[in-house]
Amino acid sequence: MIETYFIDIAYLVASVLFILSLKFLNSPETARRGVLAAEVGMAIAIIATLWKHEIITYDWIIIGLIIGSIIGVVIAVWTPMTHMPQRTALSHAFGAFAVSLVGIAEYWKHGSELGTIKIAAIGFECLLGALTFTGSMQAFMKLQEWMRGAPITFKGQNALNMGILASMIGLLIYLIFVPTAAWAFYVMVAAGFAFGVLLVMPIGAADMPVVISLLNSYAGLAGSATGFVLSNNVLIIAGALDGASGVILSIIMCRAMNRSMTNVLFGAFGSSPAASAPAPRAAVPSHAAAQQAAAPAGPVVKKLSVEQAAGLFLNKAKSVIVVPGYGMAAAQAQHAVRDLADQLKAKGIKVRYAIHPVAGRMPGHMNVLLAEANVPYTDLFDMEDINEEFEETDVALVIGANDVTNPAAKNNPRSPIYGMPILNTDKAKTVIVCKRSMNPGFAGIDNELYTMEQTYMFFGDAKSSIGKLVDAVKSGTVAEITAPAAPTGAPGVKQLSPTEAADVLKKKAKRVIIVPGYGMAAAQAQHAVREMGDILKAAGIKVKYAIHPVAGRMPGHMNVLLAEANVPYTDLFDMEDINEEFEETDVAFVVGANDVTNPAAKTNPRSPIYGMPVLDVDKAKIVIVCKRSMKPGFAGIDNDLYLMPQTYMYFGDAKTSIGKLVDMLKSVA
Amino acid sequence: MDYATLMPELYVFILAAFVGYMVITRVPPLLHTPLMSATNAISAISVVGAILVAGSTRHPVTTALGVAAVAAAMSNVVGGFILTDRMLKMFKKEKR
Repeated sequence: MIETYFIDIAYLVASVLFILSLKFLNSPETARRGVLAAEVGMAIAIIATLWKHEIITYDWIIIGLIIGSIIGVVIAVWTPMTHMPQRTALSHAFGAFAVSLVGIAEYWKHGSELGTIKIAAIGFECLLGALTFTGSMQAFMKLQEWMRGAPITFKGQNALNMGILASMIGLLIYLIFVPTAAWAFYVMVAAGFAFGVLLVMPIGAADMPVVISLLNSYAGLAGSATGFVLSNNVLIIAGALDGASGVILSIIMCRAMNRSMTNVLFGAFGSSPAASAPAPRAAVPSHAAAQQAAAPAGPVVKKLSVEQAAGLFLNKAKSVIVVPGYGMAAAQAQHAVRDLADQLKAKGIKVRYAIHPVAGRMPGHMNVLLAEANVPYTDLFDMEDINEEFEETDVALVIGANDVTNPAAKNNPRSPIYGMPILNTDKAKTVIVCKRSMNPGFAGIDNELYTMEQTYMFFGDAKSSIGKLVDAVKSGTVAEITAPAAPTGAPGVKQLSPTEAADVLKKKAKRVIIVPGYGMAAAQAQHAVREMGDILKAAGIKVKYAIHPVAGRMPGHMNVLLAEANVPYTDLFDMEDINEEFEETDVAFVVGANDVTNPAAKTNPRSPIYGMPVLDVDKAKIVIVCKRSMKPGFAGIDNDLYLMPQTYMYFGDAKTSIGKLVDMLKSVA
Repeated sequence: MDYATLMPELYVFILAAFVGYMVITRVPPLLHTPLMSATNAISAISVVGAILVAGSTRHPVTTALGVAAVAAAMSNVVGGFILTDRMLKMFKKEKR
């Protein structure tokens, strides 16, 4: 009996080690320790299990362990990093296969003597295991290109899927009441296998990051169900951890694509890219319109030779951002890319990498490939961390990335990818796109980036053309481009200098409303704002503050800050109380507020923030927006306000730029 | 298994899911692929169940199912850990 205690304690230790292992994965510094912890935990659990008294023969166990280890080693050692998504899908399939076999064996052995709870657990185990197995196998085949990556759809597909799902659930319920109905069990398992195929069939290769994550969580939950069947806590815990990880990753992926899970699973995205989107209402000049107006006579594709590309880097670039995509993985170009970066760095050029969350075929795909090519992870930046930097970047080099760089996602409400967060590649001063052709990406739509003024196409296979570029950069063979890239500057944006801003306030304003937002809090600009208010008041101008309910990070955030800066609370007005006054206001001065001033919430039904109550800042006669850049706020969408005829941008950090404005106002006074 | 054992197990499951949620949300996107690979290797702990099926009877059907399950799960254990470590080894800081 004593060994039972040892086995239980071993399982407990293994569980703790598994959790610690995931904790160590919080940082690249400690991540390898995490693998070690999990390995030790696994070894302890397996050895403890072999000690169990139920085991009467070891021969077959050892054979299984040896076969499995050989397969594992072969896969682990020979899988190239570019094939990680496939191998991950395959490992989900193996895991689910094992789980469903265990479930079937358990039912076969004890079918007639199973209680209600146990049969329910076995049912879940087998169902999840079966559908994860066939689903993952199909994902594997799509990724390995053993079958077409395009979504496969047919009439009545969703009805068929729903029918199978309903019958699986029905059979499971029947089994819970009649555990001896073996036919029901096997039919249910078969339905599970079929459902897995049907589930993944309509999902295109581009949506694989979501599918892989989702199958990951199913595999984990199936493992947990095994734990319930065998009354084994370490299985329950490990399965729950895996399930949680899969759920979190699928949510992150969905969010990154601005899609719902239902849309990914049942939307057959990409099969009908021209899905009839009704014409957008053009109540305000949208960014799309401004961009189109700024585009010269029609779209022009500008091609680069190797020497010209080298010239762009060597003559003009101080900072470069590389944007890798699936094309880099497909061409195995990561080493050539690293070589190029090394050459550029040696010449004193700053090189960073911008990684979109769904670049490639699975979460973190690009990171792994670049790490394999010895790119330090400190050069790799997530989208949120680098998106603002494009504006100050001389050259953005896009390598085989497509949809994730398409500005249509930001400015074309009719585009199927509208709303998907993308890398702001179009903001870079010069964009070089290395790609085999002009062909569209998975979403099946043209990339507006390619025809923009600052964009040059560098056609060819990523590996060989980057390789040639490396040689040209090394030897310094450069050629000029005849038509130089025009300066960008977003269309329709009117900028103000401090003097001009002071002038507007002094000469044109009788009534001013100040609209503070999180930018004011972040820059600690409330004192500067109050000073500005005081000077204006002293000059006989009426100053009020308009406070949006969700301005800042907590209810009443702005009020507290302004009170701290000695602004009398009688000058602070809630949205409802002041919204009508904007119309009669000469100057609305926005300090670091964004989405809460976006008229799209009122006028553009296609906007994600449509319906959200906003301040009617756009009604003021003149709007001055003090902000660091044109970048969108939390909702990730452009603010139509910024392009309106009455709006002037006053760029800069709120504290310093309002400080300068205060000085100007003082000197004028 | 009956009600008396089910409840504690449900507690274990729910609490583990919460722990997993909290620990995993803190994994940076940089490491999402190794994360998936590692959790997959960890959930291959179902090899424990497979071992019990393969070794506890002498009936050819359960033995066959068990051996196949042991091999499939074990390939994930071994392959998953080696691959995860292989990946993590590549993540380096910039040398100054």
